[in-house]
Amino acid sequence: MSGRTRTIKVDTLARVEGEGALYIKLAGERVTEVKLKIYEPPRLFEAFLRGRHFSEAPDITARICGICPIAYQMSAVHAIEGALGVRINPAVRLLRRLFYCGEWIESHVLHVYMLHAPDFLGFQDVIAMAKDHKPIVERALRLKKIGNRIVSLLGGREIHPISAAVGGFYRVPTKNQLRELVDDLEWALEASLETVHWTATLEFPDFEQDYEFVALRHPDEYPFNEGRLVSNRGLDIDAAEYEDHFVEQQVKHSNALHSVLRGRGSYLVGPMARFNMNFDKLSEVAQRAARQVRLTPPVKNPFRSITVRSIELVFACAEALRIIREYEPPAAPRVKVPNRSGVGQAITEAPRGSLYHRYAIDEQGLILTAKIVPPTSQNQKRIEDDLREYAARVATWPLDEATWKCEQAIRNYDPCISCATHFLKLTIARE
Amino acid sequence: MRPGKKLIIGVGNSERGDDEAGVFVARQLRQAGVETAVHRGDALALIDLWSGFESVILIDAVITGAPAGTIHEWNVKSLPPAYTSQTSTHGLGVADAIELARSLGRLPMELRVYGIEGKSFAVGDNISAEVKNAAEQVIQQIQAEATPPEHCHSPSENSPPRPWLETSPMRTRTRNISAIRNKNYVRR
Repeated sequence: MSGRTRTIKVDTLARVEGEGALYIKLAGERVTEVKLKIYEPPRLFEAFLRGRHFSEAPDITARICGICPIAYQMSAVHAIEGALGVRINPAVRLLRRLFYCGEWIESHVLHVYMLHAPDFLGFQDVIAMAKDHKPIVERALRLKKIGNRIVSLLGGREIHPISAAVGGFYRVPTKNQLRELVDDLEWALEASLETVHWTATLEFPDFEQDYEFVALRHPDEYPFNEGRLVSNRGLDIDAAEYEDHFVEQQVKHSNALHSVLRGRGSYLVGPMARFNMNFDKLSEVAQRAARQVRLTPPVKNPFRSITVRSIELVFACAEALRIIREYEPPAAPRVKVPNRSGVGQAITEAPRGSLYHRYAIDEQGLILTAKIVPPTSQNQKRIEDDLREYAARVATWPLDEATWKCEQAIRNYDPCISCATHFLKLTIARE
Repeated sequence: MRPGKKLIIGVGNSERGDDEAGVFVARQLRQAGVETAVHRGDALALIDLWSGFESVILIDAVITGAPAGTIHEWNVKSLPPAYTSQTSTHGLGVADAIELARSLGRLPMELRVYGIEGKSFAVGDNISAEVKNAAEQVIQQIQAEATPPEHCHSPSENSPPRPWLETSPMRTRTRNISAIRNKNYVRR
């Protein structure tokens, strides 16, 4: 094969707002170059935010992503509340966790069933998969709808919700409104358990990596909105210290910044990191499901993230039910937040990993600077590292199979390449 | 199942210029007493939305490269699956929902799609004159079909009026529905 250069293009429907591409160069079985090229517009949001009142931040940042707008809203409100010294009502805190449950359900179901499972089952997409696996896809649609219902109820609508506010919510649900979700959620919990068992039967390549797993950790709960950022290699910091430990680097081949741990390089955020760092905080039913399928920390095979996501799905359903049982509406939907100056940082756990926000606010409440580090930006370098190892293993395979496998390795991360454009053009060049 | 039930679904975002086309049609028809739904957001929810209806007409703005205001009409039930690959890692759109419903056997007995060619989808824009005009033609067409003719003489006279046929040479009846995918109508 040496001396021969071949190029494969997985060239499909281009959307209008940028694109992501992968380029792998192989010399025999040796990988000489890996470039995950991302053209990611969300960075501009940091500039859009400057000069806007802090109260607008949740609505503006929600627009960064249609799949995980709540993550953006949550990191924004917590960072701003930190900057302004606001303490939220405990009932609001619970509702925010429930809100996040809805987003995790929506997002994880979409990825597990519709985007990732077809790879394992050998289908081009979920549409082809549905013909042979009708009950499974029907289950996915019903599960996703339940996530949508939670988000609609708390957020006002299912995509780009509008109810999250600095200090609380613009409107909170009644106990009865939440109780109406219970039957659906009880079904969803059972369906999530089936999801765990189903994904565990898929075939996984024997591929483990030595990751630094980075996730929030909270003393009492599986993390959504609060906790310290920890890793399996001793990191243990407050959100305020984030920029002392993580740096964003520009790389020539990508418009998105690569985030690295200072002095250590790439790291992994997302379900696998959360699971490995917080297994003991998962609800009993989720832990039991994990043990039943013999998946306990440390999970180091990124292809198994599909089952880890399913276990988090179980957790999200169980946690939603717990919250609904405990819920008493707050006296007021939100606390009053005065204009004052300050700087605040927050990290919350988006479905695909830790999401960092920092805001500096002036005495009129206007945003002076904003910094947003999305999870896919943080995983970008780690994806390239995985591919460098993994591409070598499939180097001798027929090009179309090798290409598909490398795409699958990227999908392990559920990347949110940009929030409007997720078009991946893949090129493998062989020398 | 509500036998014989017909539903008009307008898809779009009225705050994004010509993307309002489907919403405009649905709202006007609703005022005329037709059963309609306006849909935005998760396209997969369409499958539940049309569940139980025998006949569904879906109106959405599209970009295919045709002049603004061109009306495309697809009978998706009789078309073969349009996809060879699923490339988006996140966005599942109207066309995906239709194909997924086809795979699952959850298409209505009849599903017709009107695609109205748009030209501007900027935030805060108004619907353009060409698209509004086309949307009104679609409304007339749907209303004409819903109203049985008073005198039935022959099949040709039975056909509803299609005023755009002469004026809109780009109009196509059987385009591949993957053209719908070209528009990033799911606003993320």
